[in-house]
Amino acid sequence: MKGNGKPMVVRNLSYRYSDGTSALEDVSFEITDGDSVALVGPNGAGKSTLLLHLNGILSKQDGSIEILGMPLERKNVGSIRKRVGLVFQDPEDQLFMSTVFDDIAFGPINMGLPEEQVRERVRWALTEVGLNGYEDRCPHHLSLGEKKKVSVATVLSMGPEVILLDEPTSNLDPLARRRMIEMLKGLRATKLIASHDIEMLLGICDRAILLDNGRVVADGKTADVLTDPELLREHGLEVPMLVKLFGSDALDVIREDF
Amino acid sequence: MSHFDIDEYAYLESPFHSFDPRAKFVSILVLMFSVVLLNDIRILAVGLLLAVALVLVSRIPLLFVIGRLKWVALFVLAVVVVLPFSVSGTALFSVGVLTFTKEGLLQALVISLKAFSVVLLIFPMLATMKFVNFIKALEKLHMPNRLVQMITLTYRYIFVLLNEIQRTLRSIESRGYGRRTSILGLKNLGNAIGMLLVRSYERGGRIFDAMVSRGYNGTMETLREFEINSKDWAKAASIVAVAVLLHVAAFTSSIYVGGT
Ligand SMILES: Nc1ncnc2c1ncn2[C@@H]1O[C@H](COP(=O)(O)OP(=O)(O)OP(=O)(O)O)[C@@H](O)[C@H]1O
Ligand SMILES: [Mg+2]
Repeated sequence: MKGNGKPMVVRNLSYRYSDGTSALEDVSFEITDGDSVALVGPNGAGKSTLLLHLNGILSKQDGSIEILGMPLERKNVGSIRKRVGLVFQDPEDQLFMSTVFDDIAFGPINMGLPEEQVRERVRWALTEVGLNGYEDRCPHHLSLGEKKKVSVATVLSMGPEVILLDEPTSNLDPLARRRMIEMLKGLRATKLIASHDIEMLLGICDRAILLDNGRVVADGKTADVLTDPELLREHGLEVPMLVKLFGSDALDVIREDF
Repeated sequence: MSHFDIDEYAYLESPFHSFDPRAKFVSILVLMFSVVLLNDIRILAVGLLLAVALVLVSRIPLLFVIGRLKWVALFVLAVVVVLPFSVSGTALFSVGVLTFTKEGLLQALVISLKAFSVVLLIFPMLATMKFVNFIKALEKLHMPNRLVQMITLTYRYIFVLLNEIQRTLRSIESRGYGRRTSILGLKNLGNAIGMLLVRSYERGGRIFDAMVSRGYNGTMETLREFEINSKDWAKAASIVAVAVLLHVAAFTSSIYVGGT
């Protein structure tokens, strides 16, 4: 089902927005089944653009993308989207229904699941993000952090095999952030997480891809890429305090902490 | 922005609040049509009284209702001023070349009575349920799904849009452009509105992407069951009965009194 055990294979992907901005240039990488991969890079590096490609929202202009063994083409896009969940950077875009329940149920209903199963999934997803009892709330009355959690729940409820997350911990308070990290760690899916929260990424991901100016500038073990102060600084990223303090041992410290 | 809450009075308790949204919507709609189709001014007066009574039963604060009626009154006022002069018939008096006619006055009254009654009926119908339940009721009543989707998305994003407008205005002001009219000020306002349009357009695109990426295929479905019970049926039946009675009354009075 998963082809070669590589749910995601991207080859020489380039993308230029219609206003001429070149957002991705010759991006290539593969992700192994069950991996958690960090996607880092300064503002405007192309992280969001890349994620939007991976479930077919932006269509590739150059290169090739293979998701779950299927080439990302028009005829596959429907079945790929059922199995690849994308959490958008801006929750305001992600939540479009009039209640939290309806929003989280939207995906499962479209997947054609029976009603009881839909309800069960909504309950489960809300528990996962720690928002039980929010079913009847209207998204526009939620705080930004709550919106972010609901956004994640809308994708969890679809039970995706691959989950793409754009800034899952932004606007979360420390406790909520910690819960989100634990939840993501426990989640059995192949994950690609774009974020500026390097500590979180060190805690969850085994591998990191560093993007700058639309190009992959580093791709390797999180322990190597994200604890290299020089590399991070060179690409406009903050060196986490723990890395400053413990160098490459930071990883162990963080893993123990989360 | 004053905190406008569309569901402000949806949590009160009254026979209308406990009324099944579908039954409530349909039965009051029937009553509205019944009132609109009346032409007998006396029966219309009864209709208006009925509408007032229903508003009282619904426990919606009268101040709130009156506040909203202001706008209807403005419209009605225009009709009342114009119609008596523009409909021909028995002259009551004249101002210069304009004649004020009895028929015109009657027509103006009929229109005002209808307008006020219908607008009053909106309160027990819509203000007594959460807007979400109203949408749900439309969905359950098999309104065209496109329409349901449009209402859902409007309801969701109107607040986002208002927010964006407010932010834009604030940022213009905080950068030193007062509300005083000046060419530069207007130009900036123009730019801001343009930006707002572009932003809304792009947001629309992103929302669509989000919908599609969760399997949207043209229809929007939700789960939520309404339970309709015998009380709901009784309430709906009484309202529909009243709607019918109004017309029976109008018909009989037109036979015995010779009509209006
Ligand atoms: N709709 C668009 N039209 C034109 N250019 C765009 C559009 N969206 C993004 N860009 C440009 O493409 C480049 C990559 O943007 P992208 O949003 O992918 O960056 P990012 O890595 O997600 O940044 P951030 O960390 O700020 O979220 C940027 O230069 C950006 O200005
Ligand atoms: Mg981004």
